[in-house]
Amino acid sequence: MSKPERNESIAAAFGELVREAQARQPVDEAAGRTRLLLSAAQPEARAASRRVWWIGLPALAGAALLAAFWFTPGKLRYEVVGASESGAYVSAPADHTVALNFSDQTQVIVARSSQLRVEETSRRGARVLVERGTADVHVVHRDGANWTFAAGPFEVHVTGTRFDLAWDPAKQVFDLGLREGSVEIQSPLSPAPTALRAGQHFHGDLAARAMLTTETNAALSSASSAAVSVSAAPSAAVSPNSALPAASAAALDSAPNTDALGANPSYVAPASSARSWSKLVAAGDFKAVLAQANERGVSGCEQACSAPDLSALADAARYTGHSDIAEQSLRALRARFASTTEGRSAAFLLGRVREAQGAQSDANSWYARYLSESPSGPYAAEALAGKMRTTLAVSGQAAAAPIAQEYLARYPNGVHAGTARSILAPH
Amino acid sequence: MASSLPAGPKSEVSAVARFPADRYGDAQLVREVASGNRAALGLVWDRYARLVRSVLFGALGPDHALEDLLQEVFLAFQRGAPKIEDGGALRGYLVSVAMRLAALELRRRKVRSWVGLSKTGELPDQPVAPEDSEARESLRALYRVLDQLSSRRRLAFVLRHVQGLEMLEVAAALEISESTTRRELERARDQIAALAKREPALERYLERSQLGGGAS
Repeated sequence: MSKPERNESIAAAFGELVREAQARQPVDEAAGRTRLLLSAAQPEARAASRRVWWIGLPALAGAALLAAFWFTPGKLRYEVVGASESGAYVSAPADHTVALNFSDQTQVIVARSSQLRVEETSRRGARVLVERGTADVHVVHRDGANWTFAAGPFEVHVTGTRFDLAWDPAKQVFDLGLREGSVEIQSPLSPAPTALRAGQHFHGDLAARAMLTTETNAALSSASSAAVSVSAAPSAAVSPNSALPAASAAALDSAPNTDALGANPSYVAPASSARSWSKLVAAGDFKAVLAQANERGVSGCEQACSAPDLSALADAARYTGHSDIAEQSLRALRARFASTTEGRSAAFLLGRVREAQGAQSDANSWYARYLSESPSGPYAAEALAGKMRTTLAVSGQAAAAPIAQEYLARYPNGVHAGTARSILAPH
Repeated sequence: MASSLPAGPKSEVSAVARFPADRYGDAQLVREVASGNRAALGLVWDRYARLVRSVLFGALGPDHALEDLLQEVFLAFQRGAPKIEDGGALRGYLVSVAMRLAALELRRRKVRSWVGLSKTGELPDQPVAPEDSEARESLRALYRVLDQLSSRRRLAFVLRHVQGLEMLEVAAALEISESTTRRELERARDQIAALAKREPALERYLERSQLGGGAS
């Protein structure tokens, strides 16, 4: 072999080394796409504002007329970034968040696997029904603004505010953490609306017929001395702990439920000015999520953070290569929220993390667990491919062959069909 | 809902629903992006994110900045779309932008190493590493070798031998002539083969690839 030929072969071998390494890198295309589309909206607006200065006064006059038309007569409009929607129904997939941008700059971030419906819009606001899951809401304050967010029998009336709202229709549990402004909540648990101010967290449990308001700011200074006000509904069922006053018993009864939704009274919420972690992840600010988690203590978060926060922390950690934090967060999701969508997805993601760490056998178990829990889940194809890969690595070609056959039967044109065929090909 | 949006190119919500990705060619997607249609930008992402990520990975190796740079490539495309004359050459355009950004990143790394932020210019937190420790060590060694090449030579090597681009495509992406590309590639291969001899992990890798026994 001549020297140029040999060097060409060496270059080709090194090229293959890089390609193989790249193929092993975990990639989240959907999150990248969402991040791109959210970012793409911003420079466009800035470019538009810059262009205004170049088009001269006549054009400015035209723009003013257009602005008058925009603001006065019509209903608010909105666009969905990160998912297609059917009618007014918006459903966020399991692997990324979706943003609803309204024409008055109000924004609603729909958490993963959450669903909502924009029931109607008006000049002054809209009525949004959260059917399931969590929404991170920022309503821009304007005079006369009129926004309603409904979840089950709960209704939140706002004029300008920031809050996180969660609704679990199966458990009939409603949570609202208010970060800015004030809101009123109407519910069948109280004859009068409940007023909430910034820093407070409202929890309503229809099954227990109990509602609970916590001062999350107080929890920041001392979890044990957090100011908690509890109201039992007039028809509250007899508490299993009858030695306690009814209100306290209601609070204790509902505590496990609030914890399940990440609204434990001792939960240390982000400062009111902070953006939610899922929102930060959607915007690509992974480092901010990790910084806040480190500030609050990652292990504390594992015990107290909500499922969406843990999921966002795991994403941020994975994207920045902090596989230890990613693994811890995902294990916490499994331990605390195994039956939720986030918890089930965590099994697949743990498989990815463990595979990248070289723990093939462990990764194989996680992929298998995901497939048994979510046989038609959003990661089913990838989990089956992961199971195929890790079985090949641990037990060899013969053991991987049935999985390759299953993969080809279910996904004949799948991304990993080539790998499956090569496993089945005679060697 | 779609009917409540203003008509025109920015109503990408309705466009999402009627945008069959397989029917639109690159040139049409470029026109849509140029007219402000972000749904079309999403389709360009779907079509080319894997390629561009691969180009960036080849150029920089496992790097915390890779996803940020990937975003930058597509945002640069969005900004530049109105000026793209040949929309059919979108693939080459994106590769070319990725190359420019990768070259800038390599320069930044050199500056970081000059001012002593780190020995290599790389930031300490690296993404999840490959599982095979041999492969990981070989990869690190290869990027140590590539760090000693000029940016242009390194990127020519990546485009040709990692991405498998044709010579003309490499030349176009690097904005140099074909003859210069050939010369740069030949020198890159010579240099890499020589430098690889000083890296035991690469020697072992070549032996496993039946290319052992001393490079060049």
